[in-house]
Amino acid sequence: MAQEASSSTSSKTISLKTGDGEIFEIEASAAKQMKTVQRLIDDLGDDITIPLHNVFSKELPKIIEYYKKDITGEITKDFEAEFVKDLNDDEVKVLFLAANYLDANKLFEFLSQNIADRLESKSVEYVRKYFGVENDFTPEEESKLREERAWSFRGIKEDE
Amino acid sequence: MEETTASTGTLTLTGDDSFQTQRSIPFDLAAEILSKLSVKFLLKFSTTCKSWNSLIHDPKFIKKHLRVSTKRHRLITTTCIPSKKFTVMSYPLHSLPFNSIFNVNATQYEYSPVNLDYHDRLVVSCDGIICFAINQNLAVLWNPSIGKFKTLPTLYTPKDGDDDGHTVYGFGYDPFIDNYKVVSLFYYNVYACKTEVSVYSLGNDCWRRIEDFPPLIPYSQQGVFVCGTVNWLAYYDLDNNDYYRSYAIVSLDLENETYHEISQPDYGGVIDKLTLTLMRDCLCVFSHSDSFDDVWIMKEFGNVESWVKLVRIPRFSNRCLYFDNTKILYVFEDDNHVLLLMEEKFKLKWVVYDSKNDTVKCTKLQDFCWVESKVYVESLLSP
Repeated sequence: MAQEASSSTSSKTISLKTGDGEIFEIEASAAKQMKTVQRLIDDLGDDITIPLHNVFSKELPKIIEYYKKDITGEITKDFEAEFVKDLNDDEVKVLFLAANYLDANKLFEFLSQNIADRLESKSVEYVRKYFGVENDFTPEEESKLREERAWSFRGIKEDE
Repeated sequence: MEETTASTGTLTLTGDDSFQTQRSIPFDLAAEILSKLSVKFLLKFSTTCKSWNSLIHDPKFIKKHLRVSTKRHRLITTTCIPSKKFTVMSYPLHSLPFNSIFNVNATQYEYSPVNLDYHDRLVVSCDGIICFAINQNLAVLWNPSIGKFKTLPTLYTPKDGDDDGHTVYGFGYDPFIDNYKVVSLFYYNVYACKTEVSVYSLGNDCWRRIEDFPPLIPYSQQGVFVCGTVNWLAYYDLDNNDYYRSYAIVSLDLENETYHEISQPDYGGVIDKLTLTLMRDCLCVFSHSDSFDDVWIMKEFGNVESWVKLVRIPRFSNRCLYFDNTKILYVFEDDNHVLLLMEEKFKLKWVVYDSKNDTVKCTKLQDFCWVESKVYVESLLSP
């Protein structure tokens, strides 16, 4: 019985349906790495197409690509660098939020570090827009803070 | 990672294709990203909004940031040209080709020494806080990344005739109270083994005296904090000549404030000198013989079977035992490359030794001056 189960999970694929109605296949062992997906499988069974309302066809393939590499233990620094090389900041943000929704920890950690790295060359104004935060300081408060932290603004060439 | 299935579901559908990129990042997820920034950028972006600014003072966030930062080892160095300059710099030790340690991402910190004659001596760094020994009655704590400085209360030390005595400081984390401590070991009248040991906890305003050191003669430059203990080297008999000292590792348990001895590894030969330090959060001993230095770490504190020899560094370049001021600074994660600071003909050489290939590469050369160098990580902790 046990033998049957293990062979079924190793070759089994799960169907995932994105919020915009597209269906993608993923290996069960990769799906396990995404806790949200695994929970849905536990609730709905692995023969049903799992609906992912908050993930879309633009980003899911990329996520699947990452975990395909993960289950074969092939994630290296070079792979990760390649993975994000051609993504712009907004695309990384979408992936990051999707990784959070899917509770895909490894990818989440990697992308949060990648976003942190990208922020180093950004201005405070850009960061506000990117994160969607309002500046709730008064102009006086803000300039006082900036003065206290003047050294942290120095020496960086900011791109926009 | 918290369950936030609800928060990312709050999409505002604006009716066009790019609505996904207008999504904002919820605060808890933003904190995850911010915890991975180096302190400089964290301080810069804390001016973004009030909630982000309050994060850097939040003890939970400070701990979270430290957990990430702790993996990014740096080297902090103080360079002193007596009566002239005192410079504090830090360099990255992680994820770099070794020959660019001193060329890439170097940071300089503003620091005015307290001791204007002999300058502040860098004792150790723990979790982003540096401990300087000013003199035998005064120590100072400083976090260079956030620029916060704390002068400790004056340590009272007794005088015994002409002997002013000597204070060995140690600084580190005490897990029993989840706080940081400075421990001072003051010894005087060495023949009578007179000592006074005191403890200062961060946030307090006084030193507290504890049980005296056992009747051995301390021989350390710092008290090494490991796993809720503080450790020093000491030797037994002053009457014996220097060649046959019998060393012991004396360990102070911070919870019970009692002392016991830590068993040393079998060094496998005649050892002339020992140095006690911290490496990879483990108790570490350098055993110096006339032909090599071995780096030993105690992988499991208190377990004598867990002593492991990490690397052996032969004496090269005319280094000889008694005039050798070579400092072993850091063993890289590959357990193979070692960063050393050597003195040679009035110059200081920063050298990386490759133990597999037995090669030496000089990564920086400078004129001789007084240099102290310790492993450092950035943090937001306030001393």
